[in-house]
Amino acid sequence: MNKHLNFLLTSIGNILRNKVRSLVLILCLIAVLFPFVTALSISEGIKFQSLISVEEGADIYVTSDYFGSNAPISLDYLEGFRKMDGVTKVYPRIVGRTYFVNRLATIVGILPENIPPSIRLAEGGMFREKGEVIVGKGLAKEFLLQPGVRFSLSINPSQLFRVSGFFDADASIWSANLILMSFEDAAEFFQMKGKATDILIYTRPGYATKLAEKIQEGAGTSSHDRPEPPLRVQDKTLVKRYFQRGFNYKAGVFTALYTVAFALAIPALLIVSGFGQTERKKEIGVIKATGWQTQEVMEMVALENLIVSLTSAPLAVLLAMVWLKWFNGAFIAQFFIAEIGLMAPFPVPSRFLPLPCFLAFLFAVVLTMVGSLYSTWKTATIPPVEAMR
Amino acid sequence: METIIRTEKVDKIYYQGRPEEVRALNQIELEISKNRFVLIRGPSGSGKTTLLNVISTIDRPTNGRIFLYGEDISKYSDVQLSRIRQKTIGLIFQNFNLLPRLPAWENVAFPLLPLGIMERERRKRSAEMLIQLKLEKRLDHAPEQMSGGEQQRVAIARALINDPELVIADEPTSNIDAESIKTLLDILTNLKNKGKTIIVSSHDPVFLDYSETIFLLKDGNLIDTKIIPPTPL
Amino acid sequence: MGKKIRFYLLFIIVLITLTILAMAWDQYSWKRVQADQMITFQRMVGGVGMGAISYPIWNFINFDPRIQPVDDSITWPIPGGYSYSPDRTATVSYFEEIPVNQLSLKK
Repeated sequence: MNKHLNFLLTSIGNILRNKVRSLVLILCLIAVLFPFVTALSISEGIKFQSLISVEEGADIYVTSDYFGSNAPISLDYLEGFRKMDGVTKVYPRIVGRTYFVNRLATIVGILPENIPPSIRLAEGGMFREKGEVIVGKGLAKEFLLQPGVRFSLSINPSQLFRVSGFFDADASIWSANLILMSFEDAAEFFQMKGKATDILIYTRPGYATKLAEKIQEGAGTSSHDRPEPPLRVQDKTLVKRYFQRGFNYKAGVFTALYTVAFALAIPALLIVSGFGQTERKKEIGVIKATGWQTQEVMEMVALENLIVSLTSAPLAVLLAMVWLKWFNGAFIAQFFIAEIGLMAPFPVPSRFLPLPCFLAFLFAVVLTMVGSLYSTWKTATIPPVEAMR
Repeated sequence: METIIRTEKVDKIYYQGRPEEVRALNQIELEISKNRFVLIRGPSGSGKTTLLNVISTIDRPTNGRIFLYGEDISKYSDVQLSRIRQKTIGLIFQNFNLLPRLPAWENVAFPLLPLGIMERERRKRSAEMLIQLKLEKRLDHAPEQMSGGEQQRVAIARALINDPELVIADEPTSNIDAESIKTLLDILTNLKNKGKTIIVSSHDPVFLDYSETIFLLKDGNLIDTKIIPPTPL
Repeated sequence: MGKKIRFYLLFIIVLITLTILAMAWDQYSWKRVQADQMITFQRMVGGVGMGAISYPIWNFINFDPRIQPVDDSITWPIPGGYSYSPDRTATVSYFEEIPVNQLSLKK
């Protein structure tokens, strides 16, 4: 035990003695690990928000299917759906897009009854009167909006809106450029009276899949005499599959890309770790000549790498954390969240889970070990006199 | 007298089979008895250092056998040879080979690390050794802060820290001044008197008066052996 | 050197502890603090947003495949499978249409 402790302390001593080499190695590792940790933590942050969006959303979304795409659905369906067994709540929703000045905004129109009684906004209050809207923090910040400000939007500039409040910045990234208004206002704005983009159905637990199948098969729609296009039904199971595939695929792509990047970084690190390798080679020769065994030399070098990795990985994680939480991922978040520019107009979500951080540490260990263990072994197994030459 | 080292037809050939092949040692056969002061002499390029390297197990012979206390060590594994170097052989290199940026006491104590001896004890032992070699004021000095003679004494202390039977010094006078040479000779004589076997390779005649066995090498061949009957130095 | 080594060892221990604590705090803040606001928002709008883009540029597919699961971007796909569509490339999410709604469309 004492022997291993000696090696540990000596390896730290070696790191401190070869300051420049160690510093370059640690900085290289941080440079490699930082984007990896950042990407995965942003991915986890958005994933978390996305999961809430899925879990707190409706159990079934029903739209029309026009030529294979989602299309507006008639409000006539509402009654039929409400009468179905297992349905607890049905309401229509409008989700559309328009421009707020030059910025694309998402318009969401909901029935005021759907608004939970106790909601907390960042500023102002919930819309009460016609034309009142709640605006996302991103839009509010960019256009210096205040409660009470009136504005109009493209598509239907004749309709005037009034800001009644703002969403909290932490609500989610999708609230940043969102304008929430009453269903009536949205229908009027898009000039689609009697239509919704989708009908949201909430069911009792365990009913969703069966109900989705029934709706797809035509139940609840039989009262219609006139020909209607087919319905497109998306239940929570499907939405969850979107969620899982949508994130796992990209997280996998990122991990794969970084694995390739790490693999490419190994020769670079070999060169970096070769910084002072001649001196190292001689040192190994000397300590072997004084009676050290190859495995003892290897243990000391492995411990050195472990210490370097234990320094680099937490530093990379902390740096990523500071960068994402304090500087809101300036400059770097744009590579992982589309269209946010150098400075995100909303808090960049980032969630630091143990697994990606451990993975970062593992990558650092593999990189440093591959970069040095073989060359050390090679040096340690030749006669010491050759190593000292 | 007990034989500590014996070589049997030892060859050392560099670049074997290539046009630039060099035969550094040729069929060397010698015997070294315990507690002797042995000098390996010869002009530059005669194979003195190579012979010392082979005897001290930091290099392997191309052919032939080396016996340490009657055991053939020429086919020993890397681990076995390391153990021999750790327990039996203390090496003093021509250019000292101290670890740079490491203070004198740590350089001396480095061979103690794999033995699991903790820092306090290591420092104590190496300080004792360095004090014996009159380096008490240089304990925390790095090699680059010391003179050649002082560095050599640190190297001697490192060679002796594990109390080896055999002390091997390669050209020990080549990098030090006259004053340091005198100190070195005193140290080696003391070690000899304490029962150690000393093997020195040098072309410096200063060792002639101290040596009890002298091997003369030329072009890798052992051309002469002079054995002076044991008398106290 | 002994003092420096001990200091470095302490530095690593502090660094690792700090990282673990920071991660634990992050977990707590996500689950206890931020989640409330997110839940309220999503309940209010009936579930809006899933992907790594904050507004539906090009189309809704990466913003929220529930709203539009079909990619009708005119630049997708281009040879090589690459797309200029910004919500398709450098983001941490990627939604593909899932061909599951092929139930018997009787209407």
